[in-house]
Amino acid sequence: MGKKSVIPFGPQHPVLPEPIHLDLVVEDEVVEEAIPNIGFIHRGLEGLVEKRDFNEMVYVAERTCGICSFGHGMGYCEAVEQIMNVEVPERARFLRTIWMELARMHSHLLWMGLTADAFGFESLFYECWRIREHVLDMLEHTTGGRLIFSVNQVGGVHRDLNEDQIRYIKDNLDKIEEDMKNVEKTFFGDASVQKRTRGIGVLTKQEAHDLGAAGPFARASGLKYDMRLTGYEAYGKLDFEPIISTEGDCYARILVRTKEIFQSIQLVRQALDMLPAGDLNVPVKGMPNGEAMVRIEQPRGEAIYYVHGENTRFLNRFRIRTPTFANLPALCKMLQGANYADVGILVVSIDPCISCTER
Amino acid sequence: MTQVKRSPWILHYDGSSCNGCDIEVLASMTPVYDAERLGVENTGDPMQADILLITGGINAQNAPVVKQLYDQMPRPKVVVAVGICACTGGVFKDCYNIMGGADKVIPVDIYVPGCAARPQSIIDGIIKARDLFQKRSEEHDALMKKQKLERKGEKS
Amino acid sequence: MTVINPVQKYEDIPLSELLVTVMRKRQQNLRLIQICCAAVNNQYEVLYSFTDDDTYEMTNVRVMVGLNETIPSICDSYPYANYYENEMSELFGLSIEMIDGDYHGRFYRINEKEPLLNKKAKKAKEVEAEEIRAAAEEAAHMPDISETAEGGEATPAPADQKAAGEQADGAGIRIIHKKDEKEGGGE
Repeated sequence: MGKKSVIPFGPQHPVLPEPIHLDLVVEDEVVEEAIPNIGFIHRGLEGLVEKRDFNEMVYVAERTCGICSFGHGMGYCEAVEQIMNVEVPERARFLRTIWMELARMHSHLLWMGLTADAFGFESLFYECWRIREHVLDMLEHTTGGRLIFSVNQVGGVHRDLNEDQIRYIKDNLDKIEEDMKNVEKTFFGDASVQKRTRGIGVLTKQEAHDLGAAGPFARASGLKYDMRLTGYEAYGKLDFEPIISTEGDCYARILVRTKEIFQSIQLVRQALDMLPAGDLNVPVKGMPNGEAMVRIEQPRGEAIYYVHGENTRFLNRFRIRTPTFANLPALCKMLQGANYADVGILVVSIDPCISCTER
Repeated sequence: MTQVKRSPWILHYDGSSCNGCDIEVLASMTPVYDAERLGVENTGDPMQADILLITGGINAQNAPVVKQLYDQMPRPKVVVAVGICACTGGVFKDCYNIMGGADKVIPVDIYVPGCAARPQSIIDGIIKARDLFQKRSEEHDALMKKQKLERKGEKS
Repeated sequence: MTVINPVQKYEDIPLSELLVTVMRKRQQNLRLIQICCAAVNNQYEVLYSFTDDDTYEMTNVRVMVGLNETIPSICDSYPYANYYENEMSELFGLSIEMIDGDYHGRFYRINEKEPLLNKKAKKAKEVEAEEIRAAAEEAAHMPDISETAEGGEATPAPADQKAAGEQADGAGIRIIHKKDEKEGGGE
């Protein structure tokens, strides 16, 4: 029986891209308990509803997180559009879907690179991010921004895709698909990756359900839960099935996210073929009066946007419930009984987006 | 660019940033933009770092952390504030928890604006930081030499 | 692909039925997805959202709470609700008791107190707290301290009824204590 010690993990750590502090109670290199201590990225942007009117809040909502930025802007706009009974035109819906899927691809590629870096495979980290630059080129070509696009507005979008851009996207998608096949071979076939990820951090289906997990983290444990099946924006017209794995370890999470990249490529191709002609946005008159709750599928899971307005320019309440907030209890449960050397990989495998969590 | 004598290493810390500028800092190190050809490397250890890249504003929780990181870095050192949030507070300037930019707690030498700051601007900032680091490094060498001579003079 | 069209329901319940309703949702195997607090009309509006994983149906349970009231925690039914409740109590000043894993207002460790509560609600809360304190002091001057003090901290709507009942009780107790005082005076 060894002695128990408390080791602080974070906020500054080579494997963490963002500051999070965990107090790990460790006995003989095995973690017994993990107590999170968050608050380093808390800016309090939900308090800005008093100072920015409901049209300007799109820009604040987008900057909640740099990686999930498009989803936040889209979710906020959808919630306000639901309150004000605004019917967004078809072309705008398809464009939002295309940009959302491109954002999902860049987010998953980013995560794959960080995971490879977490277990020391730096050249795989560079390869994933090199492929990611192709996705960012597409986004910059069509919206002007690499991470924060600012194309959403209440009532639609304000940028369009012309024929040249559509051809550019299709060529780039072919290139990415070929490069991804090489990366996939390494992730699923290499012996060192298998040794560091198989059987590590297992979360059973019942545990994932009881702890409220969401997104690819829950789908890797067997829960068939994908908000895109409810058909918001243009997802109702696209053809896809959510990707599930039943093992629940780190390897299963890598599998689910890699396959989702291929699925996103197919979805963008489908949406580009079905893109209808029409307006980009509708004018919005009046003030928001009422409440709405909207759920969308971000790259990290299910995000909920609650907006409450009382017929004034400034909203009363705007709340985002992000997927990492729901995955934190499952992370603390997963860390119990894990080796101290695996803590870095386990924390990265839930795809933590701490800036979303603390807003 | 002046002649380069030593390769400064970079420490990157995110203090209340939305993560956009952090991802662009990491993207500057990866193959397409590749700041590593300038001799810099991203390290996780503050005691081996020469240039501190700080993103995001300063709030109540991370002010002591940033100060401690700055104190742990040995001299000579250069601080670069990346992104508009680290320069002035950015979009979140009016929030109740943001005190302002990075210069509220540590002295900043170079400001790189942008939301999110593009990799080209970040590399420009790193080049300027490297030149400034060369200058400070030479001043530090000259100071050490002078002090050594003075001590020799005292002994004899 | 079959599109699931989820239904959204809103239920308004009084504070006394909160724990029972949450337990019923747990029995139906629903998942808690968020707890949201807002300040509306000088009251706290707390919204609990549950969802069914098969039909994607969302049920929102709304509870209106006075600014100085205490609500019970639902951590018995849903152990991971403690993060939401810690956040609500720190940012809004809503007082929640028996949270499993209580950070006691140091979850985010911010400097400002109750930052998301707007100024109007903050003033109303202080005024109400003053009234409650004044009522409690007044009740403390009355002979029997414990019973009337509890009645003083009751919620606004039933407070009227309780106050009326109290006066009747107080009248009854006063009579008894007047006898005691006389006895005390006698001794």
